[in-house]
Amino acid sequence: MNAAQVLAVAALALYLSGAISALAAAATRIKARQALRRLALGAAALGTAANLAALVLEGIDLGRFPAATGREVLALGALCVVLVEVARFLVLRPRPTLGPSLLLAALYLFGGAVARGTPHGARAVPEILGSGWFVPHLAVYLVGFAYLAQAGLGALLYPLVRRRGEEAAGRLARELRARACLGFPFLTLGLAIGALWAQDAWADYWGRGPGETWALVAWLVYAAYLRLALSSEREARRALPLLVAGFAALLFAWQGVKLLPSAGTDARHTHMRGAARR
Amino acid sequence: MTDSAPNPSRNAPIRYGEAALAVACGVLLAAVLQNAWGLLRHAKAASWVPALAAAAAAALGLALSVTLRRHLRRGLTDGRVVACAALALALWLAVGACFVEEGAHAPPPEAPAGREAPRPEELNADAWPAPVLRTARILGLTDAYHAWPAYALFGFLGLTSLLAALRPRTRGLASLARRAAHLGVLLVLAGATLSQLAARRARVEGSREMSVTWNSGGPPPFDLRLDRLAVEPKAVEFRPRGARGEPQYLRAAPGAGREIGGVRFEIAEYLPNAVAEEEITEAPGAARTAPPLFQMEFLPKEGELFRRHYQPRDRRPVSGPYGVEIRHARAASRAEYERLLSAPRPWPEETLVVEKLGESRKPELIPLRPRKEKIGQEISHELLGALRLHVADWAPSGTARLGHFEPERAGRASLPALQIELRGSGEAPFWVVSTPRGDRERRHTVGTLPLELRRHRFRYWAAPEPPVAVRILEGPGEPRRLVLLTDPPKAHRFEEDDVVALGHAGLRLRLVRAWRSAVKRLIARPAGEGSRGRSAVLLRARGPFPDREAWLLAGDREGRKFGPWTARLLRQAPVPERTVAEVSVLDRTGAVLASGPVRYNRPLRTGAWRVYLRRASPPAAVLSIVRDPGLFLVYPGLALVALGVLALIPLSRRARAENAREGEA
Repeated sequence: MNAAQVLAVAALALYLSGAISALAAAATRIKARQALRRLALGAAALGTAANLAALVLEGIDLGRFPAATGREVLALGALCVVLVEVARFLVLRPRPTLGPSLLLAALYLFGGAVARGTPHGARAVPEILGSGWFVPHLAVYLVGFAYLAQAGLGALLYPLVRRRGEEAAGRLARELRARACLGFPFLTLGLAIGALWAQDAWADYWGRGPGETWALVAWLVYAAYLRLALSSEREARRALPLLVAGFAALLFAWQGVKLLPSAGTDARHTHMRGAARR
Repeated sequence: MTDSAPNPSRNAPIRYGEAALAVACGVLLAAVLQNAWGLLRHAKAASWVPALAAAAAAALGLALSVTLRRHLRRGLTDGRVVACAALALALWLAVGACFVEEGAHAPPPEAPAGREAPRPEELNADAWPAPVLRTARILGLTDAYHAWPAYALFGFLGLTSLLAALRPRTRGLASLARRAAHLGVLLVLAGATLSQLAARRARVEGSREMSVTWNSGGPPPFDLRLDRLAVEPKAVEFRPRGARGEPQYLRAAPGAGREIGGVRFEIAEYLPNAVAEEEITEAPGAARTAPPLFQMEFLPKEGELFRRHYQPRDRRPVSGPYGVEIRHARAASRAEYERLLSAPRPWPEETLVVEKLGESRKPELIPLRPRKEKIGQEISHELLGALRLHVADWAPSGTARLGHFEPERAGRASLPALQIELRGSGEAPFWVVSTPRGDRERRHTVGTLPLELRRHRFRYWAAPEPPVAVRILEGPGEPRRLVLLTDPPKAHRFEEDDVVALGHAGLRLRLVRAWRSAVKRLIARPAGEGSRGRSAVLLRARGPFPDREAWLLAGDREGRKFGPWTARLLRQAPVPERTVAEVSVLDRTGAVLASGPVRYNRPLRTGAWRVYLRRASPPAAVLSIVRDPGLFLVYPGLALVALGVLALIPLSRRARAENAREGEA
């Protein structure tokens, strides 16, 4: 286990402990709440530093930006999630809700650690990904995905929260809408940057492959949700299933399209997986 | 952003969502318009149908939503209509993506190497039962993007978004950001429309001369010639030394070669599974500036003999508890050496490091504070077994020689020292000497126990077997000789082929060969059956410098220098391929207007034209040649959209809060 891997494990442990502290702070008495919040913030800061250091060390070792294999992408995604959460807190000053983001960052890192078929230390990026558009395309998608995942998973909890009362349900619905509102622009930018990349590489903005199509499907579902959710609070609650559907579409666009019979025709979004298998 | 109370209006507009929706829908709307424009110019009546259907459906949808909203105030809000249209489009495209795209617009499927590409119809027939496929074809799902439902829904959503974008908004920074996003959307739409109307593009395929035929009228201004098409595995990578520039690659195959920057590189030999070895030769010339080198052979009582090369400052584990240390005075002269040794140095707080060889557990650290008042302190630790270390004395200065210390006696140098006594084993006390520079490594052996001073730390090795430490001295004023640090230390002048038995360790040591000034060179030889090695190439270079050849081993981080290039062999897995098509652009007379390489993601740009590599399967390539006057609008447009949308996240929340305050007032 090299230094980068040790740091990644440390980041995973810190994110996880930070998430547990933050979630416990939300469910505990007033006295202990402040201490737990401070603990969560400290763990998040240290975890971010460890995550960043692991990525830097890995990049130095590989001699390139570490965002080509699934494991590297997930590690970068974890860092983006926490950084955007911090930026959100600094700019918007919402009620502190660090727990879900830290939990998702920890899940990203854990998923990267156990991902099968991801070549560790793959030094060269597949040829088709060798573009300056790749990293921004990926980074904004990862951030968008993180917030929309929180919204989608939170929507699954809505029936349970509703039993605690209308007020709690309304608060959850507003929080989920806020997260979807934050994730949607990043999703849109990801699509737009992808289109520009396609234009730069193939002289076509849109290739109509299943990967692109399912990304557009997810975007349309979220657009529909926001169109309803921003019109009234009652609509926001009624449209919550769309958050789950949108997250399912996102997951399918990421991992599911390769199961489709048409996946073989989408050279752009299946190239990386093919390269990893080689 | 949305933590404050939402707008209670049923018809509240989507803010950045609508703006972003307009981007995608506008581009596709422009495609519909372009389709209509192309139909007008070519007067193909049959193809009017989808364009007309799209326009009609979009207009009808919009009219219906406005009219129905007026009459059905309850339930049918424009928000719900738009959301339903978006969901219908999502459902349509999701189902359509399950089928391989058929029809006139379908891109040609990728063909596996050496085989003919299967047709989309065949792929669909293999994947789906006949009734399902037939139904999908009737509904238009096998060409989902170009079927009338998609046109209609895209058109409707695009028009709705445009209307929303043009609606007057509030004042302030949020309004400014919104306007920036809207301006960006309009720029993107204008650029996309311009691209669709005025762009000229051609898709050319071939292995040599390619005649360009445009998708729209007009004679082609030039032709393309494919000069070379190669798939270059990233094998040997050449990077320019001391200058920025793209790396070059040479395939790692026997006989492969190419000229790079005036240097001819050839792969003289290729070993897919090799191990590295050091080849040693005497340094040429009289100067002999290279360090000396010794080849030692270890002959254990049991087991196979093994050889190692040692140079001053080398420190390598040999086997199990055995170790060899080479001390080398790095001073340039005897006077410098003396000066270094006599330099004053405060007494450090030392640490005793107790470590068991061969175990991965962390060493135990025991702080030693050898002040006078600490004399007599005993140190015990579980790894020490029955032994006890006893701090017997310390001396601020004295003379050190080969591990022995004589306090306060005039000698070559004065050094601070610590006396450590081993109790329980009947051994005599011995001195551990701290050197002035503190960066040299010394090992002392008492009985069967080596004790080492290393970077101001004492290291105690509790070895599982009787260890032996060997030190080779090579310093100014000292003859070359081996010092066997047994108990007591013995110096032995080795001649070549001398064998020295190391007694209780059951190990014999032989000096196989000594070089006074040696040059080491890395060579590769095939690895044995079943053993895992690395791939290696012998790279030969001929250029404006003396011919040079060197072995490169896969995965080595340090490159080898070849004139203006640094070369290294990249790891074999995963090996991405770099496809390069060298293309010449010719005018009608056959004169070359421009030429250069085209790679994936790196089109060849010549004036307003760009040549893209779409696909390559040697010896043929598929290229796209495009002149797109709309690009200069699309890029700034999308940048404005991005900036506006991101700025809206914090600003819209603030604006909403201000509105709420004003409302309360």
